[in-house]
Amino acid sequence: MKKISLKKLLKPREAKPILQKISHALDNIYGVAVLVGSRVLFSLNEGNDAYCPDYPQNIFFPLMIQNQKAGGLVIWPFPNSAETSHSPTKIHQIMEMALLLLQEIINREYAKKIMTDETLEQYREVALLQRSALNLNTSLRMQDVTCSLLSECAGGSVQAEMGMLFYKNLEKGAYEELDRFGAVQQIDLCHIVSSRLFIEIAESRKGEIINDPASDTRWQNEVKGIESLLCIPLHSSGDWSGVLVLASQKSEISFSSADLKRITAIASIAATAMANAHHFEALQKMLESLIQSMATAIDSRDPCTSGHSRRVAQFAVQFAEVIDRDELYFPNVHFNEDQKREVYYASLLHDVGKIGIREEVLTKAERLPIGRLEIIHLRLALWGNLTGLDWRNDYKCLETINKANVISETDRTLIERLSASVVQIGTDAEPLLTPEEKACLLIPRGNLMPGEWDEIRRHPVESQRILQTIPFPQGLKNIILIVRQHHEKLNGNGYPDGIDASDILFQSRMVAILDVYDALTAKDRPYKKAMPREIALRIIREEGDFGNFDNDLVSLFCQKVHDITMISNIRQP
Amino acid sequence: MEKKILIVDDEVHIRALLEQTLEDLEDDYDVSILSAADGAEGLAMIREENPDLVFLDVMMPKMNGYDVCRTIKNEDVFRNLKIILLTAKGQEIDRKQGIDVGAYKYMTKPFDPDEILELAKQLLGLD
Repeated sequence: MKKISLKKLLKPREAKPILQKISHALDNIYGVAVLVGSRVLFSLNEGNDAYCPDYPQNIFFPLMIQNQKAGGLVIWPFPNSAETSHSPTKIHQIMEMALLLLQEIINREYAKKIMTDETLEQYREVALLQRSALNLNTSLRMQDVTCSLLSECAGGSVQAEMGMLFYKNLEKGAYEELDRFGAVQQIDLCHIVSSRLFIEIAESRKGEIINDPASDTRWQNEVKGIESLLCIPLHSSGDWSGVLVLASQKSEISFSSADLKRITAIASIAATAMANAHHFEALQKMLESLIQSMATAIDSRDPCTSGHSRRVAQFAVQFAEVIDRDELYFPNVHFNEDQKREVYYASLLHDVGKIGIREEVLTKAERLPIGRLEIIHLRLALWGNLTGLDWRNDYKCLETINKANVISETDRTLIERLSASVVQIGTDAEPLLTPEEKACLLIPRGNLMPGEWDEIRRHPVESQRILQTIPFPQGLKNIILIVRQHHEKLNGNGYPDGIDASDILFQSRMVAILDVYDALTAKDRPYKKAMPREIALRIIREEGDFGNFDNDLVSLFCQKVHDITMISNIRQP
Repeated sequence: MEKKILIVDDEVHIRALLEQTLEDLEDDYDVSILSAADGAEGLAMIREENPDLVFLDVMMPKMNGYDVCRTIKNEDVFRNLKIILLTAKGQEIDRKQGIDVGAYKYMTKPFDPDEILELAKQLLGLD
């Protein structure tokens, strides 16, 4: 508190009537004034009658604040006045009474000021606690809470220039840093965790002030230069615990019990918030692991797709960040942490419905399975033997057709011819190719029969069926829709619903592109070579031109494909 | 130019708290702090002293803060006068009424001294 001057304690409103009474009691022949030093604080007299410091007839009486002279009361007879009717003794008696009165006012005002200051300090404490309580509980993220707590400490609530927050890592049994403020680096404040002082206070669960660490037996100067310490353990109802350390290197600073109480109050609010954040993060990690395991399980049914969902998920996060930063195609589209997490999980889960697809359909790499080809081989060999016609060349062609993605007119002719031929076995005439075998071989593109295609196309709906019983929380509500929609096309030719562009979520459009890109370019697949990036991008651009993919997303993807698909960049949200 | 702040509150300790909170302005910025102990006196002092900022309590004898505010704000000459209502009444309808009668801000007790000081500095254009 600043030094209180007489000016603050004696106001004109209160003092002037008293001065008037003094003057009147002295028959109005004396001037009266209150002085601070040689300056007039107030007076009844001006002009010729005004106070004059050098006037020999001035009579001074001191006014005190807390037993220290703070000013004075002065009276002086007017130069041309008549003799006063009062004796000097009487004058002094009158003045003593006046002084008593004025001094009483000064003392009373002083007491009032001290109490008011105290009250204002308490108001400030209350305001601080109210504000802290609000700020410390607004987030479930650990860094938000630690930042809030340390800002309160650094912002003047306590006179420490630096501080650190530690938590107990239960697995390692040691205290680790969560956050810091001030020049902790310079003195290596982190070494305090090895001090017996720190450890004992942490275990005691009671905060302490140490205003002279050197004289404390628990301190072995583990950190040099500390003059004052405030050490406050943080504990929660669960097994999470921590310690807040506030320190000062200045010898003039010492912490008071008010500091300890205040910081303990806000620290205990923060402790609950931090324990919550800690557990929340642990749960999120576990949830993420579970989802990843599911994705890995799905992907591993087909060696071709090993790691596919995980890669698509990682690409999705990168793509989201590229879109978030982009100013040209998507200036107003932004992804916050929750939205990135949502598209990450949706991508991990996008193929979960494939669990219902039969192995032989899911992993079908050729039109006819190898066993079937061997039977055809025998039939042809027998036919060749019986008819003497050349069959080996035909068989070679059949093998090629079986593996081919697309068949030609020549291929078709061969198949028709062979289907029409029969091999005579006794009285039975066996066709060289059965109708089902013929149908399989005649598949114009790919290697799946229409029925098998339907089975594959069911997987988005199957995924939804599997996921819909999961109560996804607020920030993850779009996952099911994204999974259902990832094979939809903007022109309405997609599946399962054939919805058109206006109903397809932005995130679904992203996953559609990434799904195809990875399917085309994934390496280490047993019997399909990875397509080079340029060709994959060309196919994707074509899909955009056909109206299947979102053209802006395609353009941005192709431009930034390196950033989006670079593995070393990858971190999970 | 000297600025004036007027405190109108019937409770002596609130007047003391506000005066002390704003004391720094008196010392550092040549602001004078005046006070009145009821609504009628407050009204008179506003007209007489023409302050730049008024802290006005609501619950007062003779004339309550809403009436003082409404009366003053109806006069064109006080168009720019900033009146802060300071009160323990905390309902939304009380706040709305405060804004309706022309208050610049409606603040509740107990107040944060630093908030009051910052607000005063800001409204007087200091620092």
